[in-house]
Amino acid sequence: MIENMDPTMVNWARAQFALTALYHWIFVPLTLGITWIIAFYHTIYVRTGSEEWKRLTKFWMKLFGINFAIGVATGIILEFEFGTNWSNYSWMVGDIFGAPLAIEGIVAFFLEATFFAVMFFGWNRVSKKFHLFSTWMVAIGSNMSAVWILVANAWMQYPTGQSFNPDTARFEMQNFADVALSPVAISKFTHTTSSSMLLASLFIISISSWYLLKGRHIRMAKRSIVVASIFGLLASAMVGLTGDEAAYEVAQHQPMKLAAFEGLYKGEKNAGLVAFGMINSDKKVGDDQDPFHFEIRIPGLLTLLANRSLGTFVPGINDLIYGNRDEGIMGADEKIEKGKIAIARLAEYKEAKKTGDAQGAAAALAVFNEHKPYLGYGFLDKPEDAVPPVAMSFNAFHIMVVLGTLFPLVFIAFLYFSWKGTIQEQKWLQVLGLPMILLALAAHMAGWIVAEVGRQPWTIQDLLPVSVARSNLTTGTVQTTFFMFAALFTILLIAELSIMAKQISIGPEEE
Amino acid sequence: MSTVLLICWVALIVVSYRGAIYALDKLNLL
Repeated sequence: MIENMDPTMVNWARAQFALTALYHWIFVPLTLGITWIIAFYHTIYVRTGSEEWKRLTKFWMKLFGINFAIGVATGIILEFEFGTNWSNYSWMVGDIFGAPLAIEGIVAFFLEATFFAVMFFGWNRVSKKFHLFSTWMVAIGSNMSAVWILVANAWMQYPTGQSFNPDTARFEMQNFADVALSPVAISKFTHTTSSSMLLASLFIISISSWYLLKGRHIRMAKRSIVVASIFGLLASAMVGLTGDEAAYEVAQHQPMKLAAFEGLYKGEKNAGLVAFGMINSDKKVGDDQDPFHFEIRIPGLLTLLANRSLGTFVPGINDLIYGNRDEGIMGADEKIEKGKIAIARLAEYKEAKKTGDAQGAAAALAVFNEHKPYLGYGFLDKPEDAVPPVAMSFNAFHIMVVLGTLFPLVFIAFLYFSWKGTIQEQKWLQVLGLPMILLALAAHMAGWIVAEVGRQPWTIQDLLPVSVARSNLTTGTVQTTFFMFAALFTILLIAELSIMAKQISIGPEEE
Repeated sequence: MSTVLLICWVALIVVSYRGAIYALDKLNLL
């Protein structure tokens, strides 16, 4: 059945998922980050009883509310796509992948949505303390939602706590704690939520800068900037710490992805990190082209990042494709051979079971189990298919890192001039602050491209390639829904931006 | 390392909260 599928369908299905995920991610990080800052503002209002703090809290809460609605709408479509476009994936790993998704919906999202209503409509309707409790629960609930979604994504990158059942041809969960508490899941959660706090801080700085430039709501803008700069600066430090851990986890579990990040074709000891460079997008595995048009490397830094030691080997793309005996690395070419044996023995096992040949089934199963770790590779046609898009991975990774390094400098500048009391006079800084939300979104989008494009050709790392995970649909049907969603999301985005722009131009309202 | 990251994550929220109150107070913006 798989052999008869339309090969371009998988690319359209991937494009549709990328479109939905990236639209979804315009809204989600703001929700994850700004809820903590709104909870802070609300706490200050309850502690001081000041009407100014109440207006400030309600203003940011209103912008959050507009954002929240569309985040939910795009998120629901994203989950449905697992069923529509990736039904083999849902069939083969649904027992594992479905669990965190269900927990996210039933526990975290219900918690978040219930308290969201109290937070948004509870002014003067519930007690001040319960209202404040609701605001904190929205922050906790939305971040708990992120936990479970990121546990699911981390499992795709590092499929632990599972085993393949040859009788059902499905992956089954063996240990829930291994899945939920995997080091990849924890590094993903802390990196994603701290970078979301960073983005929310830049959102507040962008809008507050606009108010300062316009000479409106000066005191509110100053207060907002001080709080956002402190939250943002500390979040930047956390993003750096968790980013280092994320890169280390990638090096341990997805060495091909790390090699793509750095355009590293030939592995080496004391490999350098590309500080600045232009990658050659025409370069293919095995040809003699230079991977870079030019590059500046920091010696030894990639080895330090990947292995946390100096003088150790970091495998390159060629090592991972064709093997490296000296370093004990099995190549994708050898893994494909073993994978094809696993597929053939699995078919033999099923046939023997059907005909009641117990001895034949046991023999086939024994060989299958020996080759099972390479099952996914058996679906690849040639070793070079195991290489992700290198130029896209490299560019996205470096955009993310450069922007992540720039943001703390912005927070320091805003904090410094706030401290000196001259923030209102620094027009250059206010102009610099305006586009910061767009740069923060660019860094976030680059981060997801790094995570997902770098994992190609796999949906589940080393176990399930995208070519097998898809549904048996025609290209035309996926194209139709792609353009339908593209139009729908664009309309939603325009609606959100126009409502938000109107609310920003109105500003904090008098009671 | 995972435990360290989770402790740092909680500390991020607590220290941001305390730091923001301190700064607002110092700048007479509280």
